[in-house]
Amino acid sequence: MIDENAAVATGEAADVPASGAPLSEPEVVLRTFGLVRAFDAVRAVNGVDLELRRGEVYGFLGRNGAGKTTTLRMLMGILRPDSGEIELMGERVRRVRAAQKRRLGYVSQEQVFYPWMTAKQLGEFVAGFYADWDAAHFTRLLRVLDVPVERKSAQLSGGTRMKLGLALALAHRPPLLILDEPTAGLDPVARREFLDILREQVRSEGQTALFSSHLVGEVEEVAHRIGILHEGRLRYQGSLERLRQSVRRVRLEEPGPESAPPGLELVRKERANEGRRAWVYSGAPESWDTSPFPREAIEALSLEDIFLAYARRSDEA
Amino acid sequence: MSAALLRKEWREHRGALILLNVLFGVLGALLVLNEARYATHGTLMEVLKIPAVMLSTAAALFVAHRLVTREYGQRTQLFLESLPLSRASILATKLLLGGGVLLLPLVLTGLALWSRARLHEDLSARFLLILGLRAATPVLLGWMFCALAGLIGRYRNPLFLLLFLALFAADRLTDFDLTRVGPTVLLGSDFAFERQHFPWAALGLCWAAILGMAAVCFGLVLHRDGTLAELLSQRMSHREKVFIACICVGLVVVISVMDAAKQRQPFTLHDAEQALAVGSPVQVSSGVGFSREDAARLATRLANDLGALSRYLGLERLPAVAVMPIRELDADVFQRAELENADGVVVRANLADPAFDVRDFEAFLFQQVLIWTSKGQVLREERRWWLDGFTAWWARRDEEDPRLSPRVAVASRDDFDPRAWLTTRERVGPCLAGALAARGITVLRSQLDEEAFHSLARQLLAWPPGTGVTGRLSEPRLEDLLRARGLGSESELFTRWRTAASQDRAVHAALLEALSRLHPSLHVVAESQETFRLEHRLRGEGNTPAGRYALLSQNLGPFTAEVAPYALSRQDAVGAEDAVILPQGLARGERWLFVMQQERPELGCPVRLVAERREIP
Repeated sequence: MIDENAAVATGEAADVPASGAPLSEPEVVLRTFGLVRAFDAVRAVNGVDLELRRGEVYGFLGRNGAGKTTTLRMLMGILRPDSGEIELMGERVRRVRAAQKRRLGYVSQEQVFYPWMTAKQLGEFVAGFYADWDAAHFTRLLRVLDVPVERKSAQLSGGTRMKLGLALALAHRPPLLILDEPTAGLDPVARREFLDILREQVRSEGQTALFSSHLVGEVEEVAHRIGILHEGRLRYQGSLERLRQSVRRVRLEEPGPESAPPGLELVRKERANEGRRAWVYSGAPESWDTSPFPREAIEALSLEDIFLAYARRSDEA
Repeated sequence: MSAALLRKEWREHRGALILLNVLFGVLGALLVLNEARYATHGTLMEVLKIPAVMLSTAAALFVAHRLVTREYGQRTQLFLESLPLSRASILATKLLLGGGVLLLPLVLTGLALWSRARLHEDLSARFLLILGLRAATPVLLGWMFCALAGLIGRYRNPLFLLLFLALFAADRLTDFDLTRVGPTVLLGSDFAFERQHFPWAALGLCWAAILGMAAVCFGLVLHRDGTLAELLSQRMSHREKVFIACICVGLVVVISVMDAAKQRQPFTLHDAEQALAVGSPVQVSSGVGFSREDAARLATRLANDLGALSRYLGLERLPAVAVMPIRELDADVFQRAELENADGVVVRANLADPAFDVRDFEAFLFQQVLIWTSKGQVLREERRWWLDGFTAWWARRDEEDPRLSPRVAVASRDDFDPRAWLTTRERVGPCLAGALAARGITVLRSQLDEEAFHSLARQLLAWPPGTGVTGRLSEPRLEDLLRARGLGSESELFTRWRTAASQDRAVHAALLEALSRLHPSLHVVAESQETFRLEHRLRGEGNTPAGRYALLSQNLGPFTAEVAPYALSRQDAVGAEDAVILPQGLARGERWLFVMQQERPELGCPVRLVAERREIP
């Protein structure tokens, strides 16, 4: 895995987040240490080390079934890790406790509310679990998010339910917001609105957000840093810009190099095309300067191509 | 416990829970207002048993559905789990709330009953504590079971079915007696009777079960971070449905086969005289006034006659038969014992009584044997007259019974309907009913040659019994059998039978005239708003002496069909102008069978002057 935390910490990571906001607060809000969770014989999460810093939006990318939801459910204390630990705002535990959950806001990919409850009633119910619940803020959020207050949740559209979930997650002003594929199933307009609201909230409230998705475009739009999860393993963690600089495609005549040059790591070997084959390598940006490949053979990749290179099945690599 | 969750549950279920409490409030009020009808053991607190039973079953199921099943069925527990709330506290809140909701109506009903009962009853604190524990424990047990079933999700209905099958199998195949364990002991007949001793064994068992089921509930909710309970709450797939249906059907078949194959040991009567009837023992014990020699003679006679019956009807095998003398029964009353752990026919009769008629006894014994060999099929009402008639006829097949004709005359004096034979039987009594049915048999026999009658008897009484719907469909119908023999319809047979009976009545007109001069009467007289007494009287017309008679009575249960003669309480009286009062009091709403009967030496049978069922108004 490429982890560029050191680079981020020194400000070297060309930290130009999509939102344009500088990373002014380097304090670590969340850190995980080798999180593992298996379901029967399948290791859904296999040694994940995340690190989130205050004020950033962290894009958690991965294909369906990569282990994103399982990771986030462990962070929410819904699942217990088989091994590994979680450090949440300086407190390191195996499993997140109810008291710690009060400092988190959570929007799951599937918003299952009590169908008979209105948004207002849901707010009143959830308020009972948070000492610092801000009813006025909740009302304001509902207004801003355009969620009907008196309509039962069963009568709300998927997008509105998701907005309601966001309002519920934000109303007690949690320092850390965990969003599990919140835009899945939303139409493009609703998705755009949701992302705008999220970005605005995080900016104005100074919150940290962990935002999982399998859509590269939306992560690129809102995230300061990203993590790419594939088959339970974190394949990359760092800034977007550094990722773009680190991963390159090399097109060469067959048979190509037998092994990766020093300083580079093979990400994926692509199919042959007109007698040429492509290799995707990752490495520190400076490693490319000293690589043995001719410059004309090296291609820069879009974030989507990089994600696809990481997320394709390993037997293709 | 979470106060916020409690508020949510209240908000979600308040309508249903208020309705539940209102229903039980109404029920409690009705019970208190009708206390006399329900409190039969001397204390009004006995009424508490009724809400306890309802709360531990139907209400517990209802509350479990609302609090547990719905939460998982709608998958809203996922939302709860995302809140700062542990799974254990979610479950604990629900279990405590459900227990409280179910105990509240019980406590309120108990308080209402106590406030009323303490005015005229001595209610000690110990008694109330015993009563409270006995009522509350089954409610909590029922609640915990239903909550557990709710967590089992889609398998809860199969669980109920399997539990029922398991209890049924245990009852049929083992010595397990459900009425002697746990909650059924607590809510048993001594519910409000026991004032001193705590039923620790039953209480301990119930509380162990409650705690065990609570542990399983928490285990289900916490195991694998609740994924198991979530998985169980999903809808059942078609394949699962088919699989479970196959399992259930298979279990039913296995239980049926095991039950059929279960060989209970033939009943053994120790120190009895024994003879063999087609390989089966016929045992007769001696007693006061009935010597070993008498017993040996009777055993030999019964064995011979049973062997003849078996050969005549082609019975595959005979049960072990045991006969015990008992002096407490009337000479014409015979009693069959229920056997739980052994197989056979055990009967008791007053063998030493001078009025004991061995032919009548044999007719009764043959009936019991045929009931045993046919597994009860011959008891169906539409063919019951055949059983009564054939056995009475067979017992006296070698002799002309001079009492048959007068018996038929008396039995048929108010007409009769063979299709409603149980009614006729109750109205005239088993002895006269046997004679009347035997007349029907003789009428039929007179129209058939020996071989045809023989085959008819075999088909009606010794047909291999089927079970359930198949047995019902495959058994031969009398109508078809008669038509096949060219005897017309069943109705035509009954007409000929009535004609023969009318000839008997013509011969014995004097006897019927004498009976018509007797005027029995029964009056229910109110003693208070809720209690009544029965006054009965037998008067003779003109100078005709009414003579001695007996009033037989029985308090009937809600579904009591036939009442055996030995189950009737008897009060002897002398006919007079003055009414005689039945010592036993009657309560409003009860159903009673009253029979006034008179012994007639010329018949050797009691004649039922009145036999009627009454509901006390």
